[in-house]
Amino acid sequence: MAEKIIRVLLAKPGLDGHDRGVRVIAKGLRDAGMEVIYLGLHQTPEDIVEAAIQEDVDVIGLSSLAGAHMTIFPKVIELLKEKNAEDILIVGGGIIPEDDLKSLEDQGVDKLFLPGTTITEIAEFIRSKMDSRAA
Amino acid sequence: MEEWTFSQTGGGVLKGKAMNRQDLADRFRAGDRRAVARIISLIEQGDPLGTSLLAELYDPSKRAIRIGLTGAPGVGKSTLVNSFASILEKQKKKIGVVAIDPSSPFTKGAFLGDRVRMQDIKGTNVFVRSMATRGSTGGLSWPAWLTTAVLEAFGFDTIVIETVGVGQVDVEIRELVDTTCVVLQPEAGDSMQFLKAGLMEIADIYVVNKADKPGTNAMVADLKDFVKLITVRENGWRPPVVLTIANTGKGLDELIRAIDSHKGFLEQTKELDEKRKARIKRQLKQHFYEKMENEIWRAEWSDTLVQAAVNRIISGGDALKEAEELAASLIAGPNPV
Repeated sequence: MAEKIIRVLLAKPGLDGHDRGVRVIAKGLRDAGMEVIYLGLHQTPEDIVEAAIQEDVDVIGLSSLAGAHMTIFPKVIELLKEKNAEDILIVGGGIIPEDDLKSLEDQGVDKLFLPGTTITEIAEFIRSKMDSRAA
Repeated sequence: MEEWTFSQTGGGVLKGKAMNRQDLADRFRAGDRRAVARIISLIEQGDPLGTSLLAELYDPSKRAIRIGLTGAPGVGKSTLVNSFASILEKQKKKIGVVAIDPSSPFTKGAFLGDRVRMQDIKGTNVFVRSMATRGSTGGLSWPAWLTTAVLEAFGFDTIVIETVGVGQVDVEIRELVDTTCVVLQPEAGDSMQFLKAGLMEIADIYVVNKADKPGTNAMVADLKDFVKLITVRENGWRPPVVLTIANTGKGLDELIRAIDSHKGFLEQTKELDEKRKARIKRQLKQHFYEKMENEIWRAEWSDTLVQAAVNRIISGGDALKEAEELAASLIAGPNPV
């Protein structure tokens, strides 16, 4: 039997056009043995949730460098709940002020990664969450 | 299919929780796209539940038109799928897309980037699944075959399969689909390339994408010349050469007409049925191989035999004799009388 490979959806939501960071993450998670589906720039929360469902991903990673995180991240979570898909792990990263961190995590973001985080930390976080779920 | 939205009636098919076979089957029949997505995942993971659900849900009366797009990396296959599917979507067709990208031979990870080009097909009548090759060669993977069948059973009327960026010998796509489009781009070699066996032989339609780039005219002239002189398939079909500029949608109407006319040809010559028969045969054979691989080659009892043969060869045994005897023992099974 083939093994379970972790599938991750990465997206740049909203009008933010900076995708170097997310491409580095994509390469890093790929090298950590995951299948990374990249949606590209300018994605709406609806696009992201629909793609996550079609692709049956384990994790959604949102990259935000332009300040829309407080609007978009909670919307993604709300839509996932609506679609009965809140079991998908939500992580985010980018420029997110400290004041917003707790609020987003309270609203259901599983983990936010700030500048300076290593890819190994991100991959290990995802893997440990998946392992605890499988157990 | 009446229901294309998610059924909202509780009892989600959640990851990590016990999955209810009946629930998945019911939701699939009710048109729940999460159930399709999950069944594809089960198949991809090699979970027998996936293939057994496919067998249960398979409905021979549901038949989709299967179109394959293949070609080298970066020629514009995903962008073509985007333009193609968005036109069909406007015609109220229901379209399934299987887009394949390579897995790493080192880490098994993959970057599946085809959706980046598919920004215009986010409507509810299109379902896109990105898949990694997971060790397969040939441009496809076995799960991609089964996924196509799942999408067909779900009721998509058109299924588009985009191979990985292929090389000259990756020709498996022709067996999976009804119409194979080989996508080329200008400056991809001169007429000597057209004479080469393999990829250039499997086209039912040649698509020259990026047809606004320098070199297009010379290439198309050579290609058309080649088709006119030499390329009549044994069934009498002469592959047309279609020019496209996928990111503007130019030439897509012509491509759609070419695909339709190839379908008409297949129906008229009864070849559609022949293709389906060949496909079923191929799938049976593959199923057999999978069984051999999983239940014999990877089994503990066979590993013991293989290791023993290896050791005998290392210490001077006759390799051919050992191979013959091993094959006979493996075919005989774990408890020969």
